[in-house]
Amino acid sequence: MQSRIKFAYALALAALATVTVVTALTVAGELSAGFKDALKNTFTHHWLGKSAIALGLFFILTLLSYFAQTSTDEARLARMVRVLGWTAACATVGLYLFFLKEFLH
Amino acid sequence: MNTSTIIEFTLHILFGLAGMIFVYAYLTALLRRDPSVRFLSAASFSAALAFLLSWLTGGMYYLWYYGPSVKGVILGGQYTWAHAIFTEAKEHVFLFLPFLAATLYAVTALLGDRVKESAELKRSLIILAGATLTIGIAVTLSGVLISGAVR
Amino acid sequence: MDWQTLLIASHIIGTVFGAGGVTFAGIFYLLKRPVDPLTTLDQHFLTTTYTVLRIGIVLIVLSGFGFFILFRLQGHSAYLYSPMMWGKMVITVVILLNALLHHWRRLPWSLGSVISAVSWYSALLLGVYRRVHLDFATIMGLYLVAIVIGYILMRMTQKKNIFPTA
Repeated sequence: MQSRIKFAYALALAALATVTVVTALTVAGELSAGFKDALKNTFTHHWLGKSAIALGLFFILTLLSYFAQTSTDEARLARMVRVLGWTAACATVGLYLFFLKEFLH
Repeated sequence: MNTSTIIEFTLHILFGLAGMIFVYAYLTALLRRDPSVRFLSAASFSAALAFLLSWLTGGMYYLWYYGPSVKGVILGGQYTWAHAIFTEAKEHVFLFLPFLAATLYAVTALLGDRVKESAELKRSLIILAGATLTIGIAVTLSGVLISGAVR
Repeated sequence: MDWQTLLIASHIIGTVFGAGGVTFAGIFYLLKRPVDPLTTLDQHFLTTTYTVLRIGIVLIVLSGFGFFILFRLQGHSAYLYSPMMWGKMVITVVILLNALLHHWRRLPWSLGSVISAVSWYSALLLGVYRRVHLDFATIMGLYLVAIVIGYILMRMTQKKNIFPTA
């Protein structure tokens, strides 16, 4: 059971990091044309780049955090799942508002 | 639109809807006093798979058709906000969904009966599933607004 | 059978299942005295009714989005901005959220059932009168008024116990 909790925690943590990084990449891409071009030049399209980074990051972080954990418990997992839910919801609202602001300016 | 584009467009929407239906079914089942863990696992797995397929087909439609042929039409019309706000937000927010659904599945499948025995874990999964559903609704309605702007 | 006919048929069947299901569930509860416990048969009836209702909502959502796809592909994108259509979409979301809150026992049964019944019949009427031009604010205003009136009527019938026991 302990290894199951560890793996579930690792996956939830990786998902949290992915959501955060995608949000950061999106905002950075809009604020810096150079950054967006760099993504486009590497991956042929900025969105393709973000998708690839999100997938790669998710898998790598899941494995890294699984092996890096010493111990975890159910309460910690529950907290991580909750944080993931709230972070994703806030990031969604934040991105819509960000693009609304960009449009109005 | 040629046939393959129509197929990509239609499958993107249908897979996305399927994902939402499975997340909704998951949440409804989880809210019961005695949820079936088998049903929860199946629903969350199906949601994750559906979002993955919607991602793939949506990406094909977006890269090969929307960018070259639709974006310009919207930006040249009277509903430029549909692309500037809703496409831009949706194309990035959508990326959250497969990972959120995958987490729902992983926690449910790995922890099994603990999902219904532990009140704290159950509450956390309700929050995550609720967030996934809400984000999915926002993405879906954005899609309707974007399509409606293509004139 | 062309796609439009198939979608119309599916949409109508979904509405029949949903509006019909909510009607039967509502009548059943009104006829049943609060003091009588639910028998196994009662629970079986309600479970079946709610299952049919869920099938209805799935049909509604899938066929509804089938229409969106058809409008988009046929060059009728303007329909996607129709206030009547957005009214139906908002009401559909309310039906779904109401059902979740009901499952979660966060909503009093009487209020939840009124919202459900008013929502299904409002969506039905918006479909029937789709050529009537009302703006979105008016549609939502009428919808909210209908819920308030429905709730008041529900409370009045509960207090006076005007329906005979089954």
